[in-house]
Amino acid sequence: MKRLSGFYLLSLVALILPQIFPDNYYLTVVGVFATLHIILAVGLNLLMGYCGQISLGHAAFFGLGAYSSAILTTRYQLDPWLAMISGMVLVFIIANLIARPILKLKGHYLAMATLGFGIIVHIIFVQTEALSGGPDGLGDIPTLSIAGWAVDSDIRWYYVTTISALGTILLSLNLIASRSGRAIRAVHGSEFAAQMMGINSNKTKVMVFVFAAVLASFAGSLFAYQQNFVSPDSFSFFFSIELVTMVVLGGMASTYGAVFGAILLTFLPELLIVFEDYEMLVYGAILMLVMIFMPQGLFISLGHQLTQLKKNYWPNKKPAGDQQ
Amino acid sequence: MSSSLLKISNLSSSYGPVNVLNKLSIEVHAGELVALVGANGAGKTTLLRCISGVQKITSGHIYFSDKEISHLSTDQIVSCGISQSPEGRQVFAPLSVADNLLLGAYSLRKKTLKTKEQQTHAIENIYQLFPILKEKQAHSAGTLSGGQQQMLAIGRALMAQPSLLLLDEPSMGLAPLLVKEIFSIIKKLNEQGTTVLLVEQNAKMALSIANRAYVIETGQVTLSGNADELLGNKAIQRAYLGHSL
Repeated sequence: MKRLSGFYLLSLVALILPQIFPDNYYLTVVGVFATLHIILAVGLNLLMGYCGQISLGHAAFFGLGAYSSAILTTRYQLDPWLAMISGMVLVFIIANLIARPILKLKGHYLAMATLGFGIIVHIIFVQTEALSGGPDGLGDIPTLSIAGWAVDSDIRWYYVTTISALGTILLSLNLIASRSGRAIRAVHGSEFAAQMMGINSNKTKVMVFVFAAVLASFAGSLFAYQQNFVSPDSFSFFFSIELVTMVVLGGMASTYGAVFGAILLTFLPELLIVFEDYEMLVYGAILMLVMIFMPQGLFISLGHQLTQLKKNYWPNKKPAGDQQ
Repeated sequence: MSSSLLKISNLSSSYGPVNVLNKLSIEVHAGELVALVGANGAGKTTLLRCISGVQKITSGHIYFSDKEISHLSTDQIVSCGISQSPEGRQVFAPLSVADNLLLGAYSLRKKTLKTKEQQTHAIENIYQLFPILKEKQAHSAGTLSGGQQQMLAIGRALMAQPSLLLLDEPSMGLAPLLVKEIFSIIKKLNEQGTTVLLVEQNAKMALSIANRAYVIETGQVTLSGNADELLGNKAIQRAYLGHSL
């Protein structure tokens, strides 16, 4: 199928790379973070890029997933899989409860409300010491095992998170191409016109919000099992902003754009280590330059550039000296 | 009850403290093409918004096929068979023409448009009405000209296979020749059996294709009757059509 050819190519590359570099730090350590970020960014892109809503508190759902897994497995000895599902159910309920009132807001007001939610959840992680371990975090979280196959090495984690991320990408691509996907994009265009089509725009927005939140919770659980440790710092306001940056930098309203943004923002700090003290300075400068010169996002802008180049070098059946 | 498809009685609606509709009553019978004419701010668009359930009503009733729909949500009203081509066209600019049309059939999917073939068939019908849309089907709707966007907006509303089609200012911002074309298509649609409620500022064009018409001023019906009669009415000529006709 032509529509999914990009996805097959991506899967092939992602699964072949570890065969060639099985012990590469960037692949099996940074790569695991990149794939977790992909799950988060692809989910957030459904809400921001396709549905046109903003969330500055997405890290909260990531954190709720991670803490659900951490608390239920360490304090209540629950099976990691059951803990993960419990986390997703909890996030499903919370997201549903807050989405209904919050998504009636628009623009800056929605940004404020989601920001507030993110901060509240972060404070809860810090303050409920008896349960969450407070600022010191919570350790000794068991790892996952899939039918007796313990996910206990870097390379195994790479496969688990990569396959999860690929599943998320496939889900997103199929959703957007479907009838519901059209409704989501219609709500982005004009809520009024979408309603005229018989689309319940509130329901659509809530559905996308909840879906993105549950995906984030899933990624959070994986993160907790992979790290064996969680602390509130990982789920702060800054991480929410980083997720938004991934979506915007890669290119809004493009699943591959979100994937690209997630990979780039995960690897960039690693590569900028050579600048030592000036690392964050260069990092910020790169983000600014990209937004100034490629306002549509890196992935989409680079795509346009490539097609332009192709046109210049292989002008379709036109004589070469034609364009002077 | 009478055989009217749409019956609105004593409808009032307001934006905050401003009363826009004031005990307005109109009726549309099945198969008719009814025009609603009036100046800016008379409440024409507000009336259509009330029918579609986007605008809250303060009092009065709206019946569709003898069933009260005043308090249904917009998506429920669309499922009842009322579909609107809104003012200003409001096509989904980044989406393709074909996707825009498919969105028009959103409310139908569960009932009649199950298979891919049925979808293609429904879209083909629209392309027959507006051949230019077929040429542009893969283009994004935002790249169409104003007239093409208007055709798309009407085609999109038709995709819902409505028993009542609401058209809000289809002539807005279009060149006179295009207005003529759009209006002849509206007339054709009506002759093929679609009931149409047409809101227009271009009173002359609207009255020339309508069966009946209502003239609205400050939220009330001030005149109504056969379109031909209204077209000949001296008061109408003075107020909306210019002196010499």
